[in-house]
Amino acid sequence: MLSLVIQNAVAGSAIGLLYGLIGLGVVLFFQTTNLMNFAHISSAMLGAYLCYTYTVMWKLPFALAIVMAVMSVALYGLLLKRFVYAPLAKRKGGRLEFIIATLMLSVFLLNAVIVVWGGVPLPFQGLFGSDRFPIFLGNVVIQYHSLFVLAYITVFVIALQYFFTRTMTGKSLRAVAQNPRAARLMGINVDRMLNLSFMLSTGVTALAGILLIPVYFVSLDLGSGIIGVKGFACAVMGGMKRPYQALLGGVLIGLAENFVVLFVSSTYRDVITFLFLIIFLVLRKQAEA
Amino acid sequence: MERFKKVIPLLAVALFLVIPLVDDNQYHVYMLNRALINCMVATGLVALTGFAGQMSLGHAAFYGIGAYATALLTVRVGFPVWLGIISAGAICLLVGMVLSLPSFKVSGFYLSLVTISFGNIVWMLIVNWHSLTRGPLGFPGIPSITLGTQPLSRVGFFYVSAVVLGLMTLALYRLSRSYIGRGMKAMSDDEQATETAGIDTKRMKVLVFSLSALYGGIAGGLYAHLSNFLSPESFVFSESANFVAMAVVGGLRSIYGGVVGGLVVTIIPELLRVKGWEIYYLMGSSLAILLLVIMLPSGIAPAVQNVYNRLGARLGIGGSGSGSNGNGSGNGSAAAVRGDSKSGGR
Amino acid sequence: MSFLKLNNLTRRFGGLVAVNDLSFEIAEGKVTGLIGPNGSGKSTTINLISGVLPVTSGSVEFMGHRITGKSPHAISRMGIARTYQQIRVFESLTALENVQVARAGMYRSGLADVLLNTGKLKREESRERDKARELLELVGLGKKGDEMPRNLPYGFRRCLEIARALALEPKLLLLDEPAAGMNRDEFMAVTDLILRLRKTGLSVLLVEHTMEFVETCVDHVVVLNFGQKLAEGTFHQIEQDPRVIEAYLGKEEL
Ligand SMILES: Nc1ncnc2c1ncn2[C@@H]1O[C@H](COP(=O)(O)OP(=O)(O)OP(=O)(O)O)[C@@H](O)[C@H]1O
Ligand SMILES: [Mg+2]
Repeated sequence: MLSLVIQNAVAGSAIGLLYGLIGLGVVLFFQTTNLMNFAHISSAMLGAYLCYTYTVMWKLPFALAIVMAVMSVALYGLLLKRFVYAPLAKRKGGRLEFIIATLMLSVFLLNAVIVVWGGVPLPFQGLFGSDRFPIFLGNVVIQYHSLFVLAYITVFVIALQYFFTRTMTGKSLRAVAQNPRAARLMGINVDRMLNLSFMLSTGVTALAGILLIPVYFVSLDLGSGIIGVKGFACAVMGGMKRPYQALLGGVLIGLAENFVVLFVSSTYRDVITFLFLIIFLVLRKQAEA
Repeated sequence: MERFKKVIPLLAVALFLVIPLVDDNQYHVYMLNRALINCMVATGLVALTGFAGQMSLGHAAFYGIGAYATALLTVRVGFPVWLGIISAGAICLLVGMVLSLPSFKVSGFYLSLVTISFGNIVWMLIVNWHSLTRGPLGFPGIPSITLGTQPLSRVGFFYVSAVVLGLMTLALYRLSRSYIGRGMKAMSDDEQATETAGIDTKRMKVLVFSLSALYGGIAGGLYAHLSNFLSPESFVFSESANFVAMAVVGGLRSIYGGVVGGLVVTIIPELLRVKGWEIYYLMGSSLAILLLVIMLPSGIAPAVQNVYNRLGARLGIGGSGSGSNGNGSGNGSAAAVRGDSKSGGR
Repeated sequence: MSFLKLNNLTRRFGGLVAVNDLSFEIAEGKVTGLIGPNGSGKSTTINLISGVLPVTSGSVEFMGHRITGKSPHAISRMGIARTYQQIRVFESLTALENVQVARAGMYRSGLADVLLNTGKLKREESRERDKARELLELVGLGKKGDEMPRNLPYGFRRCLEIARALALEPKLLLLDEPAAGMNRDEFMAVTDLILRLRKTGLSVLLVEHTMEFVETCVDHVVVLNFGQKLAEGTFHQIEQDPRVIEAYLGKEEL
């Protein structure tokens, strides 16, 4: 029993970190724009599909494919700003309009993916070591995937931390997030920082999408509302303002889910997750919306 | 002269109402019926989001609860169809009251997350509660609406739905012009100031949530008896998003926003469904809706009304005088919220 | 039984005590001034009385009833109306509709009357519309009923907010810096309005910085400093109080 618990704890933390990574993308976006992008999760889907194309179709090395996929999605982030955010901001579209526009964008991207890659899930096995040969630690079975996720996220967090605290650009970005007006007065180019945060948030989510491939395959599920809302849930649990707390929120959700499956029922796993989210949102200390 | 101003919209409605009589393509009539049903849900969202400022991205849940409620009641319990639909509405009204509770604490994005979660929960229950809904297998054999002993034709269904939608729009119109509607609009502007103006905003939220849930439930009930078969994918999250898109595209702050948006958003994909383009039409229609939202954030209905008023003024009939009923001010308010004064046309 | 009574009212924001153990009374039919340097807790006091903010401890009594913990609309309907320091009118409603909103409590018609558009509702709507017009007239906005608030000059927006508060037919009116940011003419108009209201016997709690305004309008003054009551009395008593002078010196022009 204990080994089963440990095993689920590891697997839950790993997938939770990925939800958290999506949530981190949400936070990076919210910090600078004060908006939520409901096509956020589409970036994860795009990242996974592009990574598939780069490795399987173009036969590029996996590491290079990841970098290229993330960069491509970041470029898409720029397009998002240029063609959805900017025109709406110019017409004084409110939050609701932005929500609807991005929702429609997510439907559009989903259908675009169907047109380009087809609707069937694409298998992409052996990406993080084969599932058939997990690591045994006594009775505990650990999937390679979990270790991969832990490794990638550790590297990523160190890099992000370095970027935010040591580089001029990262510091400017934080300044804009805290107080755009003051940042402008300090001579920071706010529009450039906005571009950057669109790229960062979509890029981060693309990375999460790629790392989620072993769980969901390269499939339309990656662009579905369910994972997307879990990402938002992580961001909310992290208080919408603190990127790393979103990761922590993700771990909590991942653990909760795995233990619900272990002790209650797998059918109603997501029902319980969503109930939990509603209760959390209602009881949460009133933050500024 | 004022009377003349009203003739053209009435003419448009009349023209719309004769379509099923002149077009005998059954599929077209079916899609018009679907459009009318969508209009009902979107009209409920205009009340909820446009007037009262409460966001819901989970309305497919009410649509689904309504549809399965009447399906179960008519097939398993043996209710007559009309009673099934009314019960569906009543059940949704109660569920809507419950869903209004989180809105006491939560607003904006957070409320949209609550409603999405609610929608997902209902959807997952529909998928997984096999003994009740048969899950992904679908729910077959739902009776059609009957008129006497004859099942109602699709054309007949069209007129029934049109009357229901008309009543819903009338109710919203009267509400919006009354002290209750003013309170709702005030609440969407500034909730705290509305409270200090002596209005119980909690009661207002319960009222508007249950109203829009009622609209959604009746629409779902009608849909069940139109298609005679239900399957879970009609009630997924993207359907909720679609309903909100209708309300936004039509014009959230306009009483007719739901009707206009429901028709436009239902018909656009059908227009793009050209032979050989099947895989592109969903992509195309979502792009079209995206463009509409971006180019015309306050919606089609107010834009048309503006053009119409301006034309009227140019021809020297009516103009945008203060005598015209609530629409005039509702229209101005849409401009106020979004600050696009250039469309004021004065 | 006192008209309005604050008992040891306290409100904290994290570590900051914005209102600290504050007690005073307001007499019926009088204009009471609430003054104090910036950040001394005047607006917070108004927010606590009107129920917009929950209290940390202490209580407020209005005509013998404890109103602490009641929701803002209930307090408004009991007869305490207010305006905000930052004007908060309803931007998507016309000036007339802004005032009408606050008349909602006067209707006997219910939802059914609205949906059926009954004669009773129509009569009430027309009665209330007339009443709202009267109030706009009273605050000098008689011709502006159909304007959107954003098209009104600043002073008029302030008057509109006062008209909305008066539409509740309050027994006590809380005004948070009604003359702030006004030009000379607007200032005179508001002074005049408050003097007229006082003549009708309305009780007012007036937060104000401008001493000239306080001197002309106010019967009794309460001075706050760091959330605590510093002094209380008539304007002339207060004016000479060394503690008050000290609290204001170098901070505010008197
Ligand atoms: N919502 C809040 N959250 C945190 N601190 C607050 C809040 N509202 C007020 N404060 C703090 O409480 C103190 C008192 O504020 P308050 O607005 O009551 O002062 P005031 O006397 O009205 O000042 P002013 O003359 O500037 O209007 C201030 O230090 C203010 O920063
Ligand atoms: Mg103040």
